[in-house]
Amino acid sequence: MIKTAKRNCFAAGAAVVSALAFVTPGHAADPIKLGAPVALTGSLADEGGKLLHGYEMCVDAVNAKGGVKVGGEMRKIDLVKYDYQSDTNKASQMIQRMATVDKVDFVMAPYNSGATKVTAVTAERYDLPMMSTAAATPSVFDQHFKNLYGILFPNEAISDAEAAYYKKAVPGLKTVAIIAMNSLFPKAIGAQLKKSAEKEGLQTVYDGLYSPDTLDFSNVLTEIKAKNPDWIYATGFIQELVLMRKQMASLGLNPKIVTMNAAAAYREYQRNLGPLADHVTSSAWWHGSVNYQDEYIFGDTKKYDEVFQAKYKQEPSYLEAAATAGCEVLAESVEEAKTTEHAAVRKVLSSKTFNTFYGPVKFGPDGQNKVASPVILQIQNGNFTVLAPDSVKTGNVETPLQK
Amino acid sequence: MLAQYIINGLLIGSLYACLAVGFSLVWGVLNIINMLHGAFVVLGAYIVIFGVQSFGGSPILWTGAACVVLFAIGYVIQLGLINKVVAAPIFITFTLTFGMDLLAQNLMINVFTATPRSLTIGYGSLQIAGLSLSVARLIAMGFALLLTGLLYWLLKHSSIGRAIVAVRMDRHAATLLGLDVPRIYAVTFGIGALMAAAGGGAMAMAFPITPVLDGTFLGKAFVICVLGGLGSVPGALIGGLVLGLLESFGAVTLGSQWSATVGFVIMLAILVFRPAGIAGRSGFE
Amino acid sequence: MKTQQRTWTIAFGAALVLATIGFGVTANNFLLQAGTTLAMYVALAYAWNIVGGYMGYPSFGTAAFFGFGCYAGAIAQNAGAPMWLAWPAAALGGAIFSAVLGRILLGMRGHYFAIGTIAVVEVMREVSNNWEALTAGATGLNLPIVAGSPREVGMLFFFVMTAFAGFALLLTLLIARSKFGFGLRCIKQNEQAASMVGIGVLRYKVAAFVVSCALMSATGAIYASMVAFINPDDAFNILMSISVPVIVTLGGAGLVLGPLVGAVIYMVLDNFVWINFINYHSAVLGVIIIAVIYFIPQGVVREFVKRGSVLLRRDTAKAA
Repeated sequence: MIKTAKRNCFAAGAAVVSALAFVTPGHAADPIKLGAPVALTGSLADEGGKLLHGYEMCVDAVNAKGGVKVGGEMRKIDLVKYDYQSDTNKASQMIQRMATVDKVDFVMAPYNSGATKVTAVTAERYDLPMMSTAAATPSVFDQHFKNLYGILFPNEAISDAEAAYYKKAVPGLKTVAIIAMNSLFPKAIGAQLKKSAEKEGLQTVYDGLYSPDTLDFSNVLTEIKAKNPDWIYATGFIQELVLMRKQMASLGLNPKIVTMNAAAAYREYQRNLGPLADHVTSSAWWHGSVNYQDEYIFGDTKKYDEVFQAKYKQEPSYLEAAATAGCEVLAESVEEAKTTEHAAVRKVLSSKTFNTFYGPVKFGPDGQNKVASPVILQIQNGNFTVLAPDSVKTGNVETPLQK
Repeated sequence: MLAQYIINGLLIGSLYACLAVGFSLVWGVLNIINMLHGAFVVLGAYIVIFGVQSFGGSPILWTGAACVVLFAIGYVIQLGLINKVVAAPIFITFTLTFGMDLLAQNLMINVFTATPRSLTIGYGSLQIAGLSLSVARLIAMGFALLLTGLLYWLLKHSSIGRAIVAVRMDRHAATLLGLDVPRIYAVTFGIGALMAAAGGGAMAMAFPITPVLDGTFLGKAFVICVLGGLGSVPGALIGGLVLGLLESFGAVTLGSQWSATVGFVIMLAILVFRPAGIAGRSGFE
Repeated sequence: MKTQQRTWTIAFGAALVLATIGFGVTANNFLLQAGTTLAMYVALAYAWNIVGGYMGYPSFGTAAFFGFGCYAGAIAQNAGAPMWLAWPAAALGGAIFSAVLGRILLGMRGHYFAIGTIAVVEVMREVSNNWEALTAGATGLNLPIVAGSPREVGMLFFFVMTAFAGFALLLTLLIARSKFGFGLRCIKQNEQAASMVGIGVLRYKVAAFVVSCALMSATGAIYASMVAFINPDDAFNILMSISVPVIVTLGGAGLVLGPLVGAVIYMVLDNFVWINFINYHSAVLGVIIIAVIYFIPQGVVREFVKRGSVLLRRDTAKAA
């Protein structure tokens, strides 16, 4: 009697449990770990912080819609970040930690090119896909790693677009003076411009370098003034280019066009100079007023811009947008490959054309994005006006430089 | 153009001199290489920038405020921390001030963030006889001369100044004579910090400021003190102007990427051939 | 007594070697890399200790010679030399370079010597930034990448670096107990008196400088092979020039064990602080440095020895 009762109870219990197993949702799936070495302190802290904001935008947006769809289950992204203190050796140690201790699935590259190259060596050994979102100089990708990808298209697309645009838009533009900071990216893009200018038939009347942490440009600018160029092309980071602009003003240097890459594309540049920033041009890999559709997250560029401004209280520059896009294409690749397995994800990354709010992204054989969509900007009345391309321009170039 | 180059050199040179006067004082009198000096300059600059941006008013006024604040900070630091090790070997004081610099820089990055900040007041420039002189830098030149003159007057004619000189000449004798040596050291360090603040104010009028600049400023201060020499008041002024001119001509002849190197190479040469510097007195190693 | 001391030394050395080997085979890759960085700083600390500790010349030139070694090694390897040859070649290059530089620098004393060495670092960095034909300037140099799994390569460089650090330690032991070491200590105490007593002061100074810089250059070359890419900013990093002397001071300058102890403590603190105080790690590190200067200015080893001997005396007093 009792035995039967027990058996019945047991059976009933088993039935209930099995029924519940079908009804209740499964437990949360393991998150996808995305490693991110960020320069939160040290000399790169300013730019490093921007990258972090960009990653957060992506991770938050993806997780808000449930995560990345990997085969049958939704997996959220877990951003595993460490501060490498702007020190290359520490960045290298961080990658080791992420690969061995945290066991990340993918990793974002550090901000600076030097650290990117060193960490890429380790990432390649681990067969760990690494996404760079801040390096545009081709020499960063010259070690031919199959795991290193870069969102920013090569420098020469920027300089070619600039030379072509100004040649057309500014009548009588004949001569250019180049002053570049002696550091990997600024030097490379300065050298690129010389080639691009030549292509357009412009004559380079001055071509010089300055070392980082230069506290005085008055002599260089005095020399340049003597050559009377139509166009001055200066490269460096915010600090140096702000100083250079101030000294241009005090020396009375007012060419038709002044381009300052890449600093004059950042809001901080404009804030540091106030009215002196007006009429300074620059170029960027992206700008908030372009118009791209994005089916994966955000819907379109405008929406990205809005969400970013609501969250961080200032407009995004190309650095943040590229960082978001880098994380996004990783997530999309995982979804399409239906797995986080590295070889499969790499296959998608290397073959697919991604349509993002940042623009179309298609990685070439060396891992760098080859779809070039440079945006030429000018600061007018304290705001960024897009001069080119025609499809998104919001104004025309104004010359000469403000006195 | 040559005249413009010379003017450029002198103008940046006076900014440099502002940086170095305080450093030279502390090194010459206390025999301490103060690694915090750069941080003091940056802090002074930030006080001026935030003061002007938040409350308005003239940067020169805010520089005065910064000087007072930094004097207090310097005094307390010397009295509380450095006095304990002032007679110890160089490395001890060096390491101590280095540790404090790490602390100061980290705090500044957290409070002020790494984003460059500038005063957007355009002082413009004077155009005289075809030469351009930036007004901000002319003001800095005025600061440099003022500070040097003040220091000279202080050391020669004020009682505290004579006490400082006495302590430098012979610490033990000074104690025997009844001078409160720790307090005098503290005042000296405080004055050094005050001058750093003045340098910071001058910097704020000319440059965008980030916490990371403290290393650059410290490096310049080193070179200037060696060039100009320790143990004499005009040393920092002379050193600053000479460095400015050297960098100026280095940039023109060799290219701007070499201008900082020129300064360091000349500094090495001076260390080898004339360690006392241009205006210094020997015996300060 | 002496035999007892020698037995302890050998036992300690053996324990250290066994511990290192044990660590090398069992630790995960991340700890291996951390260990390699530690060994690198141990080697640099020992190198510095010769000139800065025993001889008493406060050098801030560590980064200059480390960076020299990075580039010398890179150029040698890119010209076809295998790693194993590039490292001694870099050491030799460093030795020659420092012999020449030493005759210039070592005439200066005290603060001036210190500043002179800082200037050398700055000049070397700018020269490598600008001398493109040799160093590729700011673009940096790639090095041939060592093939192998992360574990294999990690273990390789761990053992190479620790072996080299061990070599530096043994060299220091030899120097400490030799006439050469005695001469250096005399120079530290009173250079003029040393010269009067018959020590060829300039020869000794240059010799110490050369040995120190050769060690630093070799370390740089090994590092370059490990990371496979160098540029002027990473190779000539002034922070290294400052942290190495701090490490030795922390442990105890002019001692055989000082650099080792200092490096271990510093690295442990640095890693502990970095993981737990992300936004304030350099501040906390600064506070720790300040605290050490206050409470243990002679270095940890001397404090230990002092307290150890006090305890010993107390025990023997009790027994009596």
